[in-house]
Amino acid sequence: MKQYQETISALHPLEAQLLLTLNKEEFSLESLRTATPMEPAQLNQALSFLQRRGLLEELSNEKRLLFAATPRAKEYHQRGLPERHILSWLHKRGDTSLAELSSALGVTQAEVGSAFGKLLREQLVVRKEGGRIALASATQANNRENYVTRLERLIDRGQREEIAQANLNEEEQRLMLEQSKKRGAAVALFRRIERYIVSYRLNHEGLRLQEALRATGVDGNEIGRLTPQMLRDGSWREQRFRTYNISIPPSRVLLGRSSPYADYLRWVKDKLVALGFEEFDGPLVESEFWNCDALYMPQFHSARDTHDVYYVAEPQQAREIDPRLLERVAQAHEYGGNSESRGWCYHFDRQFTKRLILRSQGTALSARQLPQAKIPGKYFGIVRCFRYDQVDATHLSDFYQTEGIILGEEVNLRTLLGLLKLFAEEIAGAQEVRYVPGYFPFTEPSIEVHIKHPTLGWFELGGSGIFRPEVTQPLGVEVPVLAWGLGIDRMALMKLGLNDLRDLFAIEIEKVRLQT
Amino acid sequence: MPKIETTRSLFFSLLEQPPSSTNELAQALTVAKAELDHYAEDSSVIKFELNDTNRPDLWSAAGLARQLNSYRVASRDWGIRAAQRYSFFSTVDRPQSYGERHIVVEKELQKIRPFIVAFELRGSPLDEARLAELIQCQEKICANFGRKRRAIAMGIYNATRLSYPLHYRAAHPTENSFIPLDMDREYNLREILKEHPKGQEYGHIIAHQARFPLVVDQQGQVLSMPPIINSNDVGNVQVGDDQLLVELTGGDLQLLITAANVVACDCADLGFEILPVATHLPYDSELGRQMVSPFNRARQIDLKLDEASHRLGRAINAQEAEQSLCRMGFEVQAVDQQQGRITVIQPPWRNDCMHAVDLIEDIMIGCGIDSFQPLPPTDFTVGRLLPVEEQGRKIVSIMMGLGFQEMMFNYLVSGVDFIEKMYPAAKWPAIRAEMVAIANPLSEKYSYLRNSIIPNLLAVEGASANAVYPHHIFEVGKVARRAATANYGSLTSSMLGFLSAINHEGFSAINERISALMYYLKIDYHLQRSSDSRFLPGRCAEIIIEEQSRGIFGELHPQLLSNWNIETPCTAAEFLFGTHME
Repeated sequence: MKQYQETISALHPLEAQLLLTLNKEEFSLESLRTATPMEPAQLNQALSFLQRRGLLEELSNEKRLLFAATPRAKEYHQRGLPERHILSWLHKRGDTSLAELSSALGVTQAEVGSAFGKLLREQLVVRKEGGRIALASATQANNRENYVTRLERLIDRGQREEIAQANLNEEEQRLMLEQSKKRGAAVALFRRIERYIVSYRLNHEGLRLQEALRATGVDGNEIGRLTPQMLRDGSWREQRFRTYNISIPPSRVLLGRSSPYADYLRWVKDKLVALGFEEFDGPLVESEFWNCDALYMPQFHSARDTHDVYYVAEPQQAREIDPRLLERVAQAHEYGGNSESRGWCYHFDRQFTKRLILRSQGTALSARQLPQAKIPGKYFGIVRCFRYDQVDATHLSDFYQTEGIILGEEVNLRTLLGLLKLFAEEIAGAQEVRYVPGYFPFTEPSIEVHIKHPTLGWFELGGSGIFRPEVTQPLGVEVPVLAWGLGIDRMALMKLGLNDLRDLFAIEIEKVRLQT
Repeated sequence: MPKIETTRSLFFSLLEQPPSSTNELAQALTVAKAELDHYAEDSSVIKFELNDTNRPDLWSAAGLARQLNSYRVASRDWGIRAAQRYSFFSTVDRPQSYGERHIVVEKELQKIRPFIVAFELRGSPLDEARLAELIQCQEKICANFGRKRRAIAMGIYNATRLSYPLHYRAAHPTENSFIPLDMDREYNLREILKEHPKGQEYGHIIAHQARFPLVVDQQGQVLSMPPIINSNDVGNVQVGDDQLLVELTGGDLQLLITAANVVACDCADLGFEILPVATHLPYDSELGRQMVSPFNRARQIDLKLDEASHRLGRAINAQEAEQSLCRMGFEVQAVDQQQGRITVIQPPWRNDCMHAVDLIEDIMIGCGIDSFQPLPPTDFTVGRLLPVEEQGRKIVSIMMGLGFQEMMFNYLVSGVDFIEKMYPAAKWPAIRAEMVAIANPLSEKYSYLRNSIIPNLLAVEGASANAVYPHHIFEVGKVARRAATANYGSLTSSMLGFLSAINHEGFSAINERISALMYYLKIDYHLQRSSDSRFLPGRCAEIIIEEQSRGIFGELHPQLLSNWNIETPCTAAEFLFGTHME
């Protein structure tokens, strides 16, 4: 019996109830309807459960004809049959016309006509000359009564059930076929239905399970849900609790979740805060002044062409750039100003510098920070930047840049290298670091840092350097400033298991749900 | 960043000591801030990527080899050898003799394209490799350093068929004509601008002028129309030519001299003899009215070693400074041990030293970065996030608690998505006026800065009908909106946007979420009925905080959903937080 334990635990209460009512005899869905108190839908369900478990043997499967009462039959059941009204009228008042009958009985001529037609076929009435109608003289009163009563009984029965042809006697069958239609049954009393009736018997396995079930005492009336009421009144003590099927596959639960890319950016921010950096941010729209000029990028620099930055359509220019800073930056470009540089030696355009663009590099915010920075001071930002690039797997129109600065009396190349090493270890988890001379218009010296990432191998982690005096001096900073930028997107892609930058901004929910 | 291509055999023949492996080559290239770009040991072609945009002398096989050679020699010896090899330079005190080779400049050019410098090359007949080098050198210099020919244009000619003096003229656009390179008939100058591919590409540089620059020889034979195109005759240099003229024009004499020097040294390295050419100007220049090219400014630079030590983080002694600056190509003129000062002369092919820091970087490269030990930062500073970031994170955690999936979107967006699909046509002009539009968009898809998050969320919904429902999504990010009073005419703000796509939910569900959000953020707010057309009338409310509208939410209008091909009812909200940035 032990082998049935798990099956019994998994039985639905309806299955258990049905299984316990069955015996060795043949049965069908129809026969069970009267044998169990279950609702038809429950019965259907329970039967199909048992069948699916392979506990039933199918004995026969035959087509049967059934008759279902129509709404018209229901109407007549309440109002009385037109046939009965016609016969009693004719009996009391003698012959008449169909039109008179129709108005006298308050029934449509069509209905009177139809009822009369049937009575005529039964030879209970006759049609006289001139269209008058009367009772058939040859028939007895009890013949008429029998006919009408039989019909009324069928209608009455039809209100409770579908009537199987097999359950009718010969006379009833004849009557039923006359009064029923397969299609267009609206005007008939019954609709004919053809249905396959299947009969079953519990098979050997079914009988064994039934026996095992009886032995456990489970009867399908066990408690499903534990209710507060049971806890309050203690009635749970008297209850048996249903066992549940634990192998049903659970349905999917959707949850609120963070974006893994956003998570990664927050993680980097936290790391930088832990290293003593204070966060900065700024507007998405920037002036040429802060984006490039303050960084000592000459106005003729090749990265400043129309095809390299997005220009704002309206307004095209900032209303004002701090005139004191503007003048000092302009001088640095033109002849070096007070920075001991010879400058770029060209005419600085003081209108062009007001041109509004979309920020193209995070360093713009480092420049903005300089005039208000503390000494010593460390600052960073992870900010959205915009590039004039065709969007593909390795280029986005807008993306995040991670940038920052360190100000201090004693910062120098070696502290810059130390900082890069710290980033390589803390943020990229790298063990090996290599420094290579680099080029940026705003730093000198400039250093690129390459790292050996545990999974990505050697790649360029970032660019850095010491701001040129032509950058810091005009903005009022007299101490050296280390500037750095980290390319963290490759590590983000790796962390998210992606290889296309566009997927960082995916718009398909399922894609984002499944990123880890 | 410039990329160049050369043959392995030419490049290696220019190196005094060719590297024994790719690794060694890559390592050696770092001193020139150059990287190997697709190179296999057995390939005959080498490609380099040059990172320094202010050192055009490195953008050729010869120049790159020159830097690697001087780095290897690492002493004054190299300077002495260089002085011998590049003995063709004139200086202020010592101009070279130029014989009959000179150019007469017409006065009107002062306002058009004032300067021209030139020199001649003599040598063995040009082969394919050297011709390719010359053409590449010309292209890189003119495109990158010469600001797409605006500042520098260069022409090369067969010198055997020229008669001196040459004339640099301001020519009438329709009264002069010649056969431009790769064409088979004469065109006048104006026609060349319209019809020649180079005219179409570079014509804008001179098109507005009444006269166009034209270089002709004594016989009236046209050499070229700078900065557009050479003639198809003397300006069509071929394999086998052994006498060439190189001419450069532009408006910035310093740039022009540097560019000419770079080309001259490259040609000398390729085995050519360089013959000077003089320019006679009818107006003043920083070098007077007559100059002989190539010209060495011999700029002298002083550097205090203290300054280098301070910036580099360790003591730099005179010997180290001397050796490393020699490596980088400088000629060391004097070393003052007592004053801790070194005086160098910038080599004629370089003009990138604007400040002492440029020399200091060269000392760093000359010493080798590995000679500088990393030091951990010592200054104590307090790290902190911006308040708006802290607030944003709080909002993210509340939204996740409400069952929402965080998303991340692009900020550059399309007008179709953000205007046309969101509003009835009558409102488009007003909405456009609220948005920051891009004047030069690359495509319609990226033509505005977003002013809202709801369209991003709708794009997600429109693309996610196959994902298991319900959909609850949100983003915390930035938006930008026009603001007449702001200095930049717009403000950037932080915003939360969220959307639910779910059956049998409506205004009351999103109202509950707004209420929960405000409760946990401890924000007092009240609602005000709104008639925003993006929402179903009567099912939309504005969030009022301290008398100001800070957000909006409700049931999205079916018209909107149908514009986005969405078949599930949606509610959405937007909420501004933090301070605006300008």
